[in-house]
Amino acid sequence: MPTNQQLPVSTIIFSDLDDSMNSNPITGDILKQTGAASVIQSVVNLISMGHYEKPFHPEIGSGVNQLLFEQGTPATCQLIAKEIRSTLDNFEPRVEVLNVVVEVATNGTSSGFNVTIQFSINSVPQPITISLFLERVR
Amino acid sequence: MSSNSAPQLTGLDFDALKSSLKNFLQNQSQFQDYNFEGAAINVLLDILAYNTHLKAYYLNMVANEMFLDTGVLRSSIVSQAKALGYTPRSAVSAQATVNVALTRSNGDSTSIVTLPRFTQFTSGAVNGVNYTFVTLDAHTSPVSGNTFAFNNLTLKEGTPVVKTFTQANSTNPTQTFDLVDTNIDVATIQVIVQKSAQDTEQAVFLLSTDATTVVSNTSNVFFLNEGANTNYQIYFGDGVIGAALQDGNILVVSYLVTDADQANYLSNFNLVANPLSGGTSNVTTVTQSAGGTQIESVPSIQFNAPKSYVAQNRAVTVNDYIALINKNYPYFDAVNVWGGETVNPPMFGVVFISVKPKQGFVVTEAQKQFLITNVIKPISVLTVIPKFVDPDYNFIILDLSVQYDSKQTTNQPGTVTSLITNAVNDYANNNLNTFNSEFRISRALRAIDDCETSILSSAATIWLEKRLVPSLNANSTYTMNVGIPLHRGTVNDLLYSTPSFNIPDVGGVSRSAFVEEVPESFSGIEFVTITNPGSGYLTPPTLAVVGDGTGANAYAVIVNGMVAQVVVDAQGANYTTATVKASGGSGSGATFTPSLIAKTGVLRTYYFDTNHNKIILNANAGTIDYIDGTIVLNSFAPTGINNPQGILSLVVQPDTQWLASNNERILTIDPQDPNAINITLSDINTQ
Repeated sequence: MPTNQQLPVSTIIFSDLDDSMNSNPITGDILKQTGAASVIQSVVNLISMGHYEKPFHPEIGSGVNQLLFEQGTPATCQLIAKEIRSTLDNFEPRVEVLNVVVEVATNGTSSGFNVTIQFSINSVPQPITISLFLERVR
Repeated sequence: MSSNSAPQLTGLDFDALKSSLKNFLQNQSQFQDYNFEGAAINVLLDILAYNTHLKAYYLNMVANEMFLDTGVLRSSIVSQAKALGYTPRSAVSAQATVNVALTRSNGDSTSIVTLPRFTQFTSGAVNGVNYTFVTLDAHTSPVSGNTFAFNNLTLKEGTPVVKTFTQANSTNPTQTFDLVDTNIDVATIQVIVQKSAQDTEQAVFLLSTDATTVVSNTSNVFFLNEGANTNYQIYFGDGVIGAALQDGNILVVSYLVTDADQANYLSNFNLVANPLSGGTSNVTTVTQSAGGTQIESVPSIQFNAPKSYVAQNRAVTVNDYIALINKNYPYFDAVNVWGGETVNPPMFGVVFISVKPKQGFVVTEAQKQFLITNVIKPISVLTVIPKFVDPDYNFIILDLSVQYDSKQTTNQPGTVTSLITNAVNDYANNNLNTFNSEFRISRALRAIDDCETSILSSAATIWLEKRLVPSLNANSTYTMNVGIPLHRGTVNDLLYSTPSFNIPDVGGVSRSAFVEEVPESFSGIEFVTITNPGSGYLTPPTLAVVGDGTGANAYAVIVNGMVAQVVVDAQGANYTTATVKASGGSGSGATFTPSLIAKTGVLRTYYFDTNHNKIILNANAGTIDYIDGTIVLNSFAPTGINNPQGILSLVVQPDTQWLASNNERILTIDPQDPNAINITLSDINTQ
């Protein structure tokens, strides 16, 4: 995952609160995410958000949560990839999805899906690649 | 902060609230990313907008429910109505009247039989359901022969429920008891209070409907309150207003849970359990069940509560009476009330009430008496006498001539005819069948023209039918007032009667006779009214009588330049219309209205002999007043009317194409009468 320092300054037009809601130990302010990191945080949020989680807007979110309970077949992988792509296309206007790869994987004792999303932040040529391990938690 | 703009948070909608928060943040420099659905700050905006939305909705709902107009929940509306002193009407049981005859078996020596409260009867089935009817009071009858007769027994529909409560001041200090049944007819609630389990002395408590029914701190009354889910609560006085309950009092509360309007129009009742062992019972219906009504709806409460408040539970104005009767007896289709100077001639001290039932044409005497005694009299002005007048129906008969183009429709002529009939009946349902209604022929014809695309034109002849049920073999005078100016018949438009009736001729031979009209054919000018005396006349002006008759002449007498008198020196003849105009005399402005003699006609009875010659039976059987619309049959004594109902109809044309009704009169097109709408359909392709 690229860090903030690896991106050109021009991308630091984005800034968001940090999901952890932790505070800065010195100033006491809530932590911030800026630049590409804030976009990546948003992408992860969207993928992990189920439909009907946002009040009055059931269309926002992805159906990936449900798909994690499906059998680990290539078809499920395709569905997850498609779901991620359409969610980002629809609700994250800052990114352009270049590639989504989903594979069945195991992580120690549990099995899940390795997801690799390659996208570019609009007007920034370098693509960003993030990897996630998605597993059901119950 | 870079801007002073504040978020607009007056809307209720979540999206609007959120968008105003976003607009607010747009003007701030601290936060970004609020516009992206995946951003963490967007989640916070969601929470804020959702919270604001929830509060706005809640406050809006609270504000709405605080007012009678905007409330939605029944409990809120009932509570608001209570503040106006209005108790919403409960469901009402249908009521029927029956005669019951019980016959004891041979060897049974029972001499007296009592049918207790809640003696059950079953009704004939409607839609496969038999309803339970019960008596509300105990009735006793001694034996006569072997029979016990219970005449005019009032039955109420509903399932009897008896509940027992024990008052415990420690757990129920408000002395409130819930009757957890829906559709209770509150008029059937009976409360008996027994002192205690040991002391069986009982007292009957009555429902208090008005503060005036509570006269002291020992008045045995209970109060009623509509609670949640249309259940009722009963509660008692506090020892100051009405008697209070004592600790340990035992309450026996009984009432009917009713099926309301579903049990209307039933007959064929049967006694469920005969109190005579081995005896037989015979139940005959006197009046079929009627009056069953659903609990008052929320819109009805919203409509009636303010009006009831305005009336202050007193019947004074016309609308007070109408609201009162509608509230207590919603079984009626229409109510009209009038009196005083609106009666011709004016009559004071009497309020005339006319009601049209939902089924049939007139209400029963028992219903009228109930309304006068229980509903109107207790709250009407002391010196005003309520008087019921049966509705007087003017039945409209339409002779329709309709031209259509059969090439423009796939409907058969029979279908077109029934479409026209439906259109006229729809017009009648929307505009007629009630008091103070108006019939406008152009509107009816428009409905006909619009009911089918192939109809090209339509025309109508209107007739008015008055129905009477004459007493047979008795000399009676029948006066029927149409209340509408009538047309002077000439040849094909004369008043006629239907069906034939039997009446003896001078020789005592029974003839099958009819009534017809003989308009006075020799009619002149009776007098001339001065509408405007004019001015400046030096000599009497010359008066010219212009009309469709001949020979009338009149002259004027002037005083101080004005016309003071008009003398008719020749009445003339054959006038059905006339005007009088002044000319000459050097003055101006005098105008006159002539009155014709023949504003009446004569009715005669006739029959056809074996040679089909018309023979006059009675040349002076009655009169017809064209101006007032009054038809009188004098000393009319038929021996039979030749239809099963014994109804004689007199049919006459009105003098106007616009008909209106007032007072007790109702204009209607009888949907049951196959001759009410006569359609002559002509196809332009076959002409």
